[in-house]
Amino acid sequence: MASLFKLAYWEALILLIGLFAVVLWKFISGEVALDQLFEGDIKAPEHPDGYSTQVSAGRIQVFWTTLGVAYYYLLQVIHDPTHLPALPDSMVAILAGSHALYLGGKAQAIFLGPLRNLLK
Amino acid sequence: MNNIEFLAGTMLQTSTSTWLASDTIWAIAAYIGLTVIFAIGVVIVVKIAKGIIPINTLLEEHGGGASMSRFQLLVFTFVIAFSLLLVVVHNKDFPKDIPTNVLLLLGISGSTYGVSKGIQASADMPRKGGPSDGNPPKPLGQ
Repeated sequence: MASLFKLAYWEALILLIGLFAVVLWKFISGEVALDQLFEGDIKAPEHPDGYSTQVSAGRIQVFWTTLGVAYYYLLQVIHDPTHLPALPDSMVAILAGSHALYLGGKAQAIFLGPLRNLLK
Repeated sequence: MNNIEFLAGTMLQTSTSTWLASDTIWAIAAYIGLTVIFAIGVVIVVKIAKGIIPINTLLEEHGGGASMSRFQLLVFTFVIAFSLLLVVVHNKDFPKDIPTNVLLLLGISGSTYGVSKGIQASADMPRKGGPSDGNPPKPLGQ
């Protein structure tokens, strides 16, 4: 029974780390492109396509919030791997707010155009 | 009296050997199952590594460029999968309960991806690399 569990453990570890390594390698080698990760489309009637691309503050804040929450959660699990730790409510609220801001900004940019044009 | 003892002894021996046999069969089935699942996993990972299963558009959104909603979904998927593996390895058992906030986190992450896709789809944006760029249209999913 112990050897069966050990086999399952090593198999899961090899597969998960293998998949993670392959995905990471494809990021590093540029096969999975991260181009324009911080750039969002924005309505621009003067552009032939009707849209142009700009750096998006919403995307940057989602990126850092995601990395922060992921890092915090991993640290919690590594410190105490007896159970899946619960995230503090405040952190979930920050994450939800961050994502809502990102989605709101994206919808506004795509459907309504730049905020400065709306405020004119 | 001797007959009763003989009968009881025979019954005990039979039930023990049956139990041992079923235990052995279960163990063999478990080893085979694990090996098959591992082999399937290895084949998939190797095919991804060789590019036979392409993942180069893993983060690409419809309009072209990398998608932040896909990126955060990927990060959280890896984090929760790795955390679950650590907990299972430590306890030699699946966690008895999954905290509501963790489910909420996965829900937020997944629904952000869904809503983001919905916004893109309803805007009906042209794909980059399409006719308006002077380039031949890029097939979907490539």
